[in-house]
Amino acid sequence: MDRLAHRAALAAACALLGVLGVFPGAAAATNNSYCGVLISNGTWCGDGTDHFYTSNSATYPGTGDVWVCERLLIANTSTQRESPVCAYNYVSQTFSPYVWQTEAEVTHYTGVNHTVNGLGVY
Amino acid sequence: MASLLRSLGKLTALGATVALLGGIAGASEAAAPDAPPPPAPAAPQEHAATPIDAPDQAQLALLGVLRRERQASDALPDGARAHADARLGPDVGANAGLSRRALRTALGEDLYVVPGRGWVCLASSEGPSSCTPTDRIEQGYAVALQRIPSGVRIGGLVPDGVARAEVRGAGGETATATAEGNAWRADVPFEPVAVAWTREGAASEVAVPVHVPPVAPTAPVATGP
Repeated sequence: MDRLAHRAALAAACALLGVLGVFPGAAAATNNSYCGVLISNGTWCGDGTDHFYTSNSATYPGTGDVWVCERLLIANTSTQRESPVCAYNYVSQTFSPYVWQTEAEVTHYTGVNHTVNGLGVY
Repeated sequence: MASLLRSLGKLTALGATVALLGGIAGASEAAAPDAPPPPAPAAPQEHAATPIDAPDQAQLALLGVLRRERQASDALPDGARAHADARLGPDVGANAGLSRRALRTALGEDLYVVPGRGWVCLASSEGPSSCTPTDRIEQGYAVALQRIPSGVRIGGLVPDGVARAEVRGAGGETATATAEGNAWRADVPFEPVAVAWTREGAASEVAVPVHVPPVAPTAPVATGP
């Protein structure tokens, strides 16, 4: 019984340390490309998956100049982790470890419809 | 006689134009005698760019901060460096080893100019980075913003010869930021709708629209690096 309790405590401690990002090198970074389709002005586009994202970027791949924005939402909520960051054509942001999983999203605010590419890293 | 005077006037104007163009070209060449020509801009959505080895001629001609000797204080801090290596390199061919610190804000935020493959990035010690095709900087498109509790934090890159940028609000508000190291930054208490600046010697101003996303619920705890 003591051994079982010890194992449970160890597993809980490891889970907590993992959430806190104490072992950042434990897993290689994964690139999650999303969106990449035509979206209308002001429509946020994400892939709806939940991860511990460490960076997110928005890219406009066409000609001309399009005002793009990126943000992270706390997973399964409409609460932004931080206010969106916006720029013409390319914007990227890095995020420190966070206690909750997040969803990555991108949008644009130029004209009617444009393709915007998102790339979240976790 | 009048015809002769008109011809002389045209010749004088032509001569002045040629001299001006010659001067600009000469300055560019003097600024970048051994620099590579501008490459085809990287395609960020492919995430496969090779970081550049040196700023190109167009970047050096446009941005004086890249022409000065690199110093220890120009190095990106660890977090920004890691982000530049992992994202700005593959996305736009940026080389963090070529960064120059442009300015430090009153709040201690450092802004760095990082050249890339046909792009130039403005990287913040606080996390965000924006990148612009080199040839779009002169058109005013090197600008980025984020809503902050007191209003909006906005900034960007400007070419040589721009001393200040003006941020304009929908209600006629204005705020002016001084450019330093080809960059500028301002925290404004209103919602900007445009940024404008005038380059020394230019006949007209450059102005581009900007847009602040609508207010949305945001986590209350500051979580930046």
